Amino acid sequence: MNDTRVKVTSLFLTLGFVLVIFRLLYWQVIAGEELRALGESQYRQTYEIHAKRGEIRTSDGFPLATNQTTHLIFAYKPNLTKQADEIARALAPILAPSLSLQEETTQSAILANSRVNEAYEQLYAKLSRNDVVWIPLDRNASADQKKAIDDLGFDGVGTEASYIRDYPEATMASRLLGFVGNDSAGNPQGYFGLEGFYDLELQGRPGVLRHETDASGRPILIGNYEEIEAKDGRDIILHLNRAIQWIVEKRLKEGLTKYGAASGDVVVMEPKTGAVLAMASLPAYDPLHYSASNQDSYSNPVISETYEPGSTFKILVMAAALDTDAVTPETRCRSCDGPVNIGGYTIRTWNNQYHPDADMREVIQYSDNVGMVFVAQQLGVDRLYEYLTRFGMDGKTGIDLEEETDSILRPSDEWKPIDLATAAFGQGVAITGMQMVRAVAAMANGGVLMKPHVVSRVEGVSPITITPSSTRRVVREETANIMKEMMVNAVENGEAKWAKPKGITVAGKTGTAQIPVAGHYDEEKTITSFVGFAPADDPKFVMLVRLREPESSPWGSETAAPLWFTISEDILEYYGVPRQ
Amino acid sequence: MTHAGRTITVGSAPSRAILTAALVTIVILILANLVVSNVVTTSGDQLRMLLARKQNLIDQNAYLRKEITGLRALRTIETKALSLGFTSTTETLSITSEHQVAMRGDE
Repeated sequence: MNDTRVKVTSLFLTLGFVLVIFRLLYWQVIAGEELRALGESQYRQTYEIHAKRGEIRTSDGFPLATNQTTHLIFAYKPNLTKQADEIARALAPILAPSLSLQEETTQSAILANSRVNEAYEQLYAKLSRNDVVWIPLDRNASADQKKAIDDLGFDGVGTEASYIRDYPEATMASRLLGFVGNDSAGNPQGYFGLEGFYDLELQGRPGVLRHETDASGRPILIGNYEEIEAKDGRDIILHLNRAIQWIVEKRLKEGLTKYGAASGDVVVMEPKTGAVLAMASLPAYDPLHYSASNQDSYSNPVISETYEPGSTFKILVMAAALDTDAVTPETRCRSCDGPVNIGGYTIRTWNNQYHPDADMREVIQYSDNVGMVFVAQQLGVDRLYEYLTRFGMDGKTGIDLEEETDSILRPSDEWKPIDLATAAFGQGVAITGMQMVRAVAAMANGGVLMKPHVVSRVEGVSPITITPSSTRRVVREETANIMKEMMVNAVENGEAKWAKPKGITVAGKTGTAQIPVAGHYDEEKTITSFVGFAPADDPKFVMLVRLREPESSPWGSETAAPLWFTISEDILEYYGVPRQ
Repeated sequence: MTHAGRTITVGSAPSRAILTAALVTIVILILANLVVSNVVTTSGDQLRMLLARKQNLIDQNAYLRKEITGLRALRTIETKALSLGFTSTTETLSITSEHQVAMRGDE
């Protein structure tokens, strides 16, 4: 009997031990990790330290894009002790200014109530969600809003400091800058322009701070403390001259109104270095509220849109012909006495006036299409193609901006006689504004093509200075000088001479190109442009002005050229270049 | 203590002293640890206050920088200039190194 009792007791004891061992095995091994993490979350707090995005500064150190401290208001559902309705009602009056989509234009009580109601509905909808535990309520709360929410003392409602982009010069150079949005994980990411191209340098790396806290959440000094420091983004310094950018945008805005153009672009470059001094495209968008603008306005048309350059292209064709000795400045055009017929197409001059025996200077001066066909025929397809490639018309310029279009020339063996003829006066070829201004800058730079760049240096622990780099010599120095003379003559005696200011020597060329629409050219709409540099003997800048669909006149000499001269007067005055 | 007519000494004077010193040291260290822990542990509030002050200074710095940047912005300067009665340049006069016509007779 006693023996049986001992056995039963032993059995129960053994079973008990086995149960305890299994339970311990469960707590220690199977659920060990989870429980450790749960414990740590109770006595250890973890914060993400936001990295500050680098600034984008102009050449005078002024921040075009900087950062503003803002606060993220969030709710952590497991810790909420009040109902969604009660929290939403308390938070709505505080967060209404930043949550409501209605403009704060009046102080009327009705509008104020309407905005609070709108904020309440948004907050209640967010707080009622059951599929998430962490809910961001407002990402752009101010310091005052944060304080008001902290004062409420709601469990489960927290705040976290963060940064948003700020633009002290508002929309200045917005299509060059790009903007900062969020990626699929909700992290800030730069899109378009400089924000997109230099995103890695600008964004930095967030840090983490972990430390032990007491029951009240206060940090314990002798407790464990780990910090992975945030690495702020690097600042980038541009060649962009704020004063010139200001002049350009102001004058371009006036020009759009004056000539009734749909849009316009101006790019100003230093010919000797390839540094971009100003780049403006209007209409612009507000990078702070980019989502309110049409997505088509995000990209920078100077580098992303191709256009048929029209007569400005004659500079390159003539330079190629002079450099290969296909023609000389004194060569007389033997077919300039009337329209020419090529492959069944009749080519006329822009004003249907003809200049028999015109020399090459006059061909450029009169912007003579028939004369340029003669030049192209003397040059031939292969040599023209080779020079266009040298001028960088086949491929990207390599500028440090995100959305540059890769414009490609058709292979030379596909060119027909009519293609050669139309290319001579800039139709049938599509290039970007940046390609054009860079090629003309080579004329101002003694025939050497420079790589365009917007950023001069990247600051940080190991600063990077971007030095000017020449791509190649495209024409002889002598050819560049002859072209410079021809361009000066075109300005002094050409169609735009009426607009040229006195006392300034400008080398330039007007351009008017029809817009291709569904296989044919639009009869009325044009893109007008003027490209050139000043002062011609020692160029300070090369500039392209391009207007799309001007209504006051379809010609470059009556729209883009006067605007170019107005801007150049201001720039030369800014540089202190005296008039002759 | 004697055993089979021989005297056995348990713990000599120097080893007792060492033992005593070790015990005293341990007690002192425990007491010091308790004191330091009590003092330091309750400094959490002070640390939090210092962190808040640091953050406050950072915020103030950021605010002042924003103010300065806003005042340096060209659009602000233009508005201010217009309100003060400044206007755009209407005529530019360039002074060259060449002598004026009236002075040329002296050469």
